[in-house]
Amino acid sequence: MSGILVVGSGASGVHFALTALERGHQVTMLDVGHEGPAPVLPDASFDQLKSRLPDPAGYFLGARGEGVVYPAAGSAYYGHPPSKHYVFDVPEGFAASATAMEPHFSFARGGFAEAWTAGAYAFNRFDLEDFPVEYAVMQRCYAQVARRIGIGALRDDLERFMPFDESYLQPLPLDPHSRWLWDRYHERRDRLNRKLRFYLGRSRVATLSEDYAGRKACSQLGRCLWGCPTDSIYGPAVTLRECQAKPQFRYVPGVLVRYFEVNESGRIGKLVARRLADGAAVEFQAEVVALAAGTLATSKLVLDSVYRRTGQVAVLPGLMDNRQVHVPFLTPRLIGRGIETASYQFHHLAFGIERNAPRDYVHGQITTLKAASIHPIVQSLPLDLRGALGVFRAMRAGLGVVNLNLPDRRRSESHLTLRPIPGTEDTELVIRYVDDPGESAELSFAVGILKRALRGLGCFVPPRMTRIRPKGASVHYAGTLPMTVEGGKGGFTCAPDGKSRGFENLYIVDGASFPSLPAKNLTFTLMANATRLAEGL
Amino acid sequence: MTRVNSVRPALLAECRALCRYLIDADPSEYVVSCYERAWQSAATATEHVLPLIDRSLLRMARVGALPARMADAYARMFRPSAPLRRRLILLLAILENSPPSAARLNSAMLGRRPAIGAGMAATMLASAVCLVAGIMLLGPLHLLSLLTSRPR
Repeated sequence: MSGILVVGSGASGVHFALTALERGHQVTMLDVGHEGPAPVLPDASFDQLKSRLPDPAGYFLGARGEGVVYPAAGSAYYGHPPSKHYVFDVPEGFAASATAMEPHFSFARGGFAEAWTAGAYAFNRFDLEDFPVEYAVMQRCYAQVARRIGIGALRDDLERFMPFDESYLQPLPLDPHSRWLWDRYHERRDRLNRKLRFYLGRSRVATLSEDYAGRKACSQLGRCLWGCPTDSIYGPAVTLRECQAKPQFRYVPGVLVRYFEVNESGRIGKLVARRLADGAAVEFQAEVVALAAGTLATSKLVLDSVYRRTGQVAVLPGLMDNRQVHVPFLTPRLIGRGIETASYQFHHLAFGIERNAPRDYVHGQITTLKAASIHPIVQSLPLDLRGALGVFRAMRAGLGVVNLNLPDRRRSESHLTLRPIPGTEDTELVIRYVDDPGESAELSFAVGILKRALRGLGCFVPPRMTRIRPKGASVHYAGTLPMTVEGGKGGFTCAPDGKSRGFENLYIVDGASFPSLPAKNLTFTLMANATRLAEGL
Repeated sequence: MTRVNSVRPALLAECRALCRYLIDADPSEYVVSCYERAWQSAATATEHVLPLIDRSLLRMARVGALPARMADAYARMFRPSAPLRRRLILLLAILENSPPSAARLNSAMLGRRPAIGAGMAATMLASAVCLVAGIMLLGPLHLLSLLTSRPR
């Protein structure tokens, strides 16, 4: 096999491409490829940016204040800063509407994972139960990706839920608040494990604690949310650059792939794209096509192609996304201590809540407050802002937030389809999500256990400040073109090797092919699965 | 950077009053210029078409630091998305990112826990007093605002 067209440069696309290149294939990657701004003052810490930049408020909030988080029902405790808006920008010609979900799209060079918090958790046997894949093969692919991107981890209680690999690096040093929670957990571990089935460990993160593979170790600048200036936090753009260094790779940014055309024998003959600079239609001859545009965009491409070929509006059932809950907490014992804003900003600790059925496992990450945008937090306190500022500064060293994730399953009620836009050739992606009827009870149970565990760690959980984030907020979308062992020809499923059953030379290599969605962040598995599929080409 | 003398006087006066309330200091030229350029993002509607309660909250907050706190305390409880709250949040966001206020706002209070606890209690008591005062002053206006805006 020689020429492979990969659509999308996110976590799946780049690892699929790199693996294919390493096996001698020619790869062309088609991408919208929105790019972010170059990092400003790469050596400056969070605090130094505020004193050294000529317009610090413009950098942190945007020229017109677009990064300010205003009060709204259920608003988040943090927002994406202006320097990361490019990750979520949607190009002209891509339309979508949603019911009971607030979806995000990424057409950035590197995709959503250019704005992730680097959590890299391998799925275990139970998580992969529905995947028609040999576990040993996935383990090997996880290890290969870990060697590429560098993952910091420790052998600890999380090993109960996720396999540990010898290729993992040392984790980052703990900040004082995380250290306090870690020590407290080990004092009360037996009780927390036995009574609550709550297990704490070090977050497994694709952030470097040492120089690795040409990237620098984290320099503790405290500006992670605004974009790591040293690539210490892995992003797929790192692997894209690795691909670009290979002569048989061609990167074509600035094109939005709209549909593929299929010949009589059921093979895709060409991809039709819109060149964003001038709106012109451009075509790419296809020998093998790998869709890695992200679950929603990949699904739209398949739906559009079927619609253009047959005039039929198909429905893709099984859309999944993790429900996320933010639970803020206070560790009173730390009140009065200082904070170091120049330190790694994201989570150091992760935890699992074990359930009777292993696949109901609940996952979470604990982020202690160091450098942060304070106005979203201060405004959420039930006081006037002056008073809230005083209370916030008094509590600051003991503040933190837990991000809790619940698993999801494929259900036919949650689906994707199309709506033709009258008077044009374009269509709108129609997203319909229906909550799992059992989710509410699961959520109450998990939040209840978490609150008891936090109390056990000496923390206080303020009432009425837990925020259930809307579906779509986690951007862990999956499940609309699932891998199955069996499936009729022409169906919207793919074989265990990622090969579509509807189109002979089409591979689904992103989350659309996941048959289930555990609570753990799926990004590491996206990379490992894409690597596995490329190995099988 | 926009200079202060280009700022509409009303906006400058508002920025100064709200800044004194939030951090006990006048805004720097830079803060005022940021407030002016981002003000639209916080504005919900032209002031004269706002409900009576929202106009009253803004007017009260412009008088001085103490009335501003009363108005803010009231708005936090009963009008959390009021234009006053949005403007205060915008200004707080600017101040936390602008020297010299950034250093203070981004720091933690240091000291012994009992002392900080007592300080926190005093702060919350002051907030509660301001809220009560705000309710007494603004509650009737809010009621009137609701009655006059009700469709007939």
